[in-house]
Amino acid sequence: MQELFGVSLTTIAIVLLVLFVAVATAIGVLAWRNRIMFKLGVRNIPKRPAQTVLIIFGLMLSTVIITAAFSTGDTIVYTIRSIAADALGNTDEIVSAGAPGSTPGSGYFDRSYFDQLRDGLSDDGNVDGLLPVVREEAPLIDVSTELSAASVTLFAPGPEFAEYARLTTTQGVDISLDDLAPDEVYIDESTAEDLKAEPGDQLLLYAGAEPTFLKLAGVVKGASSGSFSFVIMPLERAQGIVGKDSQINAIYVSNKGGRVAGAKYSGKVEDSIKSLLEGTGLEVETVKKDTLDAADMAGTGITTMFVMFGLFSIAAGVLLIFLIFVMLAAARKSEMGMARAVGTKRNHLIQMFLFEGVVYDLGAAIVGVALGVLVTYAIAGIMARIVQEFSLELAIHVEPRSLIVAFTLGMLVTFVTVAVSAWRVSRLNIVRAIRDIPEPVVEKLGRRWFVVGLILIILGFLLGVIGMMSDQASALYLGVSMIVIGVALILRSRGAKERLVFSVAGAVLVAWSLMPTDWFQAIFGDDWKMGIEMFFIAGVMMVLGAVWVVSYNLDVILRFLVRVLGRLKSAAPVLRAALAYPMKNRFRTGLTIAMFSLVIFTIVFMSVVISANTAALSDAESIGGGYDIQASVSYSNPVADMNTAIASKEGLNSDSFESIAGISTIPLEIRQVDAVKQEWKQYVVSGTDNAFLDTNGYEFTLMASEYGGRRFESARDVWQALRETPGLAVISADAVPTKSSFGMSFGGGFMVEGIYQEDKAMDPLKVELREPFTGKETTLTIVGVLDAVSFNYGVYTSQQTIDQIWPVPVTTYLFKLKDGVDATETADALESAFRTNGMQAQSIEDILHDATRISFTINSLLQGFMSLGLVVGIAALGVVSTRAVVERRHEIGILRAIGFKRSSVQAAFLLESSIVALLGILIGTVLALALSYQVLGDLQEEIEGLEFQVPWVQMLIIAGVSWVASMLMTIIPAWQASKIYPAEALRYE
Amino acid sequence: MAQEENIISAKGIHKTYDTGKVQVHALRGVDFMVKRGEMVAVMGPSGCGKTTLLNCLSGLDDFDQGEVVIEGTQLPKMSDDQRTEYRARRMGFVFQLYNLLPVLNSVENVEMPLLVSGVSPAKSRKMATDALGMVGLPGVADRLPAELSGGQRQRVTIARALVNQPAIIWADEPTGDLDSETTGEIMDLLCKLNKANQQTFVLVTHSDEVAKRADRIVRMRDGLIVDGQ
Repeated sequence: MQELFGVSLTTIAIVLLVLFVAVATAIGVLAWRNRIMFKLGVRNIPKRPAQTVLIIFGLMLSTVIITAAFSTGDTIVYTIRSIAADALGNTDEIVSAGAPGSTPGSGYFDRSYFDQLRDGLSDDGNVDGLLPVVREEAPLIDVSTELSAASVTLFAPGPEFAEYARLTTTQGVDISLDDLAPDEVYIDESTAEDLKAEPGDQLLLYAGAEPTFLKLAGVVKGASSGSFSFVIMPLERAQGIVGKDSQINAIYVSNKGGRVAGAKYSGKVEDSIKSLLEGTGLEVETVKKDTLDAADMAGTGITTMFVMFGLFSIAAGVLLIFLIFVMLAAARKSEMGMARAVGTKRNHLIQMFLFEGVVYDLGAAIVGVALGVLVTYAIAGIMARIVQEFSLELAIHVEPRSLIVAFTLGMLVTFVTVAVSAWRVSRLNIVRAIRDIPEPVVEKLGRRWFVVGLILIILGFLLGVIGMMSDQASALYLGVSMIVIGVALILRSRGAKERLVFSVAGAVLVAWSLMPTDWFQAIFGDDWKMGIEMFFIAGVMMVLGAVWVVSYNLDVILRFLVRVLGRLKSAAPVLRAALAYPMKNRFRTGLTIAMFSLVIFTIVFMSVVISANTAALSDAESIGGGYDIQASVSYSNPVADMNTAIASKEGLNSDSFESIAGISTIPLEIRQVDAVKQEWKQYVVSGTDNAFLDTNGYEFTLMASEYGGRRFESARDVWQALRETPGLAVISADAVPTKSSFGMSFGGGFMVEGIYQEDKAMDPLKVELREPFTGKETTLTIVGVLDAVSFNYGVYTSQQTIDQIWPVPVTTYLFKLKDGVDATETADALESAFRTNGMQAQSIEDILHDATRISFTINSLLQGFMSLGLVVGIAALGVVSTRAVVERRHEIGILRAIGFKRSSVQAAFLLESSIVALLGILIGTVLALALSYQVLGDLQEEIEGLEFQVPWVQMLIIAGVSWVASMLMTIIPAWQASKIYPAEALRYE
Repeated sequence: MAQEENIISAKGIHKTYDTGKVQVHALRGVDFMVKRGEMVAVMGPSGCGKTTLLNCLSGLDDFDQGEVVIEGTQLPKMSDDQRTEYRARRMGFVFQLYNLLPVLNSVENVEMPLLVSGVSPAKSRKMATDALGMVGLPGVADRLPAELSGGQRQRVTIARALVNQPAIIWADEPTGDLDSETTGEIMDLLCKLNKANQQTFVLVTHSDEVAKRADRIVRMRDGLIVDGQ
């Protein structure tokens, strides 16, 4: 089930729908009972169609973002589920002898276990099929086309297959394994495409002691093999090839209920199987359910990520809604004043605005959902290109539930903002409204704000205490920020000067959010949990603080500009007119600057982080451990001695290689000896040969200072110790938790206790390893944690240590080439030479290049998504400018009368918008650079090669595009202003 | 003593407002002459075309037929930019309402015509300050219009109208929003400036008290001048 912040999406949809229906019903009843007010409220909508379109455009953004976030999550879930359903077919559980998740090919067992299980489950209504299987990973060559697939799954089911699954040709014609001649096989579509294979082609399969010649009978689908790339043959034939008569290495189990629905019985079926197989050493894996759960998790992750990053834009969207209704109120001030004078009550005014706002809201929600789906298609289009790299296809899918959530949430958020605005607007002074007299300057805020301030201080204090007690940094951050805001409001309510109070409060908010981690830890300790929500909280508070400082000192800033630029005679009058209005309309100006700042802040922050990531991922020397090529060979047909083999291969030159390192890998279960939670988890252990231990350049993020009388002062000391002392090991960073989720800890399985990636040092810790089928155990001592950014995964020890317990062949090779030897060409030559061993080789630079490209695409996608928020800022400028033309009509007449040309009027409007946009862009950029500098500085301790760099070109593009778009939005209002006829504008009767 | 030449010469001015449904003939062939240095008051009932005449003569509005020559220059033949520049250099305006830009303080409002005319900011500031002194408001330079009384606002407006030493000052109901005492003060100021600087004043007014301070009264009715021309 997909979730958002721990709550199921279905629950969220139901709650929102109920709320929406309640609000809609209330509004409907109110409108019915106050039809006059309803008509008065909505009559304004068709009067100014351009304004209506602009308002709907501004209001819809939150809905667009929410729709796109949820629909993208739906697409990911649906894609993974489809992939699982296609590959696994009817198979819901797999019983095997190796550790669950192990490489197929390990652990053969007698077929009698299948009979035992089948008999035991014969009365189990949740199971509708079992299948004995031999499955192996092996290279396959098409002799006819001379093309090869490095690794396909040899899938050989027993005669029960006819009842278990429906095998068809790609044209949908039913076929059977019984139709195959003794040397014939079927293969799947993707393998056929890779090999350009046609029925009748001769194939060579490298499973078993000797390669086997086969003939391709056809291309099929629906095998329920659990693999995307398979060759299928009857069980007995495969048993002969691998030399395991009467033995199988897997039992496939199908639950009732179909390809996806069957997964819901997996819990009960798993229990039944476990009890039947107790003591046999066989393990059951709920493959279908696990994959579907992974799909939901991935979908949740994607949705959460998009929502979190979209929150800034949503926040900007809320500000825009507020601004629009403030502007609408200003436009109708006289009208409302007269309405109040003749007897309209305050709540009637609220109703009028509410009704108008709800109509805009409805329009915006409908348009927003539609556009959000379009944005999803755009996002999916980009993600499809990434997914295609892995030979997979993205299936765009939007759940009705997601549309409901987006629609109702968008409507409710906008409705609440409209309601607050309407209440605020209703509190006008009748005389001042009728005569259009400006509101008096408020020397101090009223008692109401004292109460609000006090509440904020109390709530902030409570949040802070909760944060301190639970080590949640976000609660502490938010709590302190609320206290600062509360104190500012209280001081203002007591008459303290507005400029001083809010400037100081703003500066404190910025400083608090940017406090160096060292200082924070020195004051509050260093055991804090920080999640992605910190980014949002810190960002919003920083922007609020900076906007306060700027908007309450705007006159100082703008007078400075006038003094500097006003020296140009021709610019002086335009500057004077352009800069005076932002200074006097501080609220509008501040809101607009805040909208720009929020969005630019997120985009620039992402830009800097992407640049730093790209740079870190480009460090091939560090990430690759000094090696140039990484290669893998088939488990079932390994290379006995790589050095000797290379010497004998045509197309390869031993002199090209400086060193060749080998690694063998075995999936095992692991647990930490002194951990509080004693639980076996699936993990991977690698045995490294002496060549690896002597030549690798991998560094450690954490090292023990000494063990067994040996001191470790450098990474080389640790690798040397592993070579000389059996039982010593190191572990990859994914198994070590971080204190912040800005760091690189993705371990969802095994995690050590007692150390963090941010620590400066570690004590050696002991882990137990267990091979579940044989029950063999051993204990290793971990003395180092590898750098986070690398290909490393699992526990690494010496080959000597592994051979003593579980001898497994070397399947991974790392090649260091001599200077001047081309890595890509050599990798291709290795693949060609070791084709029969199923070698897949790639230069490490090429691997990094692909990883960087994918990472860049994903990050750019996020950046593009966040850029949607720019629409808000630009729309805000459009709204403000359009309104300004109407409000300043008479003043434009005066200006024209005293000598302002049309072009000067236009320039003044454009300059005014320009200044506001540029201030917002500048604030957002500076804050983003400051925060990213701090965050990257903290992460540098964990991640080698991560450096703060200012991506000047990207930033200029972001600033330039934002500014140009703002100007385009202002051009029409500016042109309209310039076209105002002085005589018409000056008429005041 | 006013000089003999006509600084303003208008013949056969026609102006019709066409709203689509209704046509309003605001001016029906008006001839209007003003000598340099003269203060002329234009009076008439509401809707008689006084303001329309002022707008057409000053170049704020176009007209359908006729000829307007200001200081020997045919205003209608100028482009909009040329007319605007001419207004900046040679004309000053005083209106009943919405005279001052509310977001600029007094001295900034007064100096605006100078800045538009290309005078340097420093010099503009000095001249504006002097102009405020001339109208009896030396101490209000940094006050916003909202912080001034009605009379003070009109004085600031007059300062702005005069700061670029225009040849003609157009005043449309300059005392319409003021009490009688302030009206008297404003008219004293206008007359003093008219006499001192020999600038031509054309005043549109409802008030007999204001009109009788002028050198000549021109009366209008239904888009025509009926007396005083």
